[in-house]
Amino acid sequence: MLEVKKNDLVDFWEDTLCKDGKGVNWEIIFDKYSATTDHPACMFWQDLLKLYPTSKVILTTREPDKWYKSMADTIIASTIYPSIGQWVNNKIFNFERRFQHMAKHILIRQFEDNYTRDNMVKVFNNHIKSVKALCPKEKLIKFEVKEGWKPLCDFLGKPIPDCEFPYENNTKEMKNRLNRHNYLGNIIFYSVISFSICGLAWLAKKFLSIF
Amino acid sequence: MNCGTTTTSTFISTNSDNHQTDENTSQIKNNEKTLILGAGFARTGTTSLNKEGS
Repeated sequence: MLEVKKNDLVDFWEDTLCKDGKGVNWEIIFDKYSATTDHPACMFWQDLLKLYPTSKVILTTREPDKWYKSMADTIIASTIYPSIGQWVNNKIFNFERRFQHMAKHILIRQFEDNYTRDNMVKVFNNHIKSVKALCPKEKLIKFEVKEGWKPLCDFLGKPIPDCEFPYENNTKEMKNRLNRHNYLGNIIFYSVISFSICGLAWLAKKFLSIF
Repeated sequence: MNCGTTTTSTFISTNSDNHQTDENTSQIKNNEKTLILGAGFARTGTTSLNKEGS
């Protein structure tokens, strides 16, 4: 998703979601990439595997309740229940509005607008079952990041890197990033509120002589 | 471009895991490029080897 934002691929993915992945010219995007992860690409792994049949599929998994908590605290919170800062950003900045719209589109399509723990875990588990059932075994690895480099590198036929397995994009880091991102929106919102209160006080003092 | 506007129902389509891909057949050309396809959901591949979870 960060790549979608960084390179403004919002229109491509919005269009792809609208078409349900049918008749999409995937090569416009994927000829420039060697790997995908995360939403929205994971929703269309079958289409991409058909187009790039020698591809290898990595099915990242984790304990469903922990996954749900992580989603609820970050992506669901910021997309479905945006903060004041995000709300202001969406109102002011066109890109923010488009990105938020696409992110919400992904969530609604994936979870049918039901963000309860039970429904999300059910969708999560069904997705895992579906990938395991539909992907050719020789092209698939089910992988949890806590397993580290070895199974991943063995599957990809690559040597194990001489560095620790990365630890990035955890909940705290993502929340901090969202807070920084919404900083301008917060400043604008609270400035407007402050000026409005000051203005009302000034008007009250001037015309009502209540001070 | 934006098919989904304000209503939820316009966003919801059929089961995403089973959507048909026949209409994409025309663009399949035995592409030899090998992609690494992450098929897992968001927030599943972001935790560390040693830490419990994000």
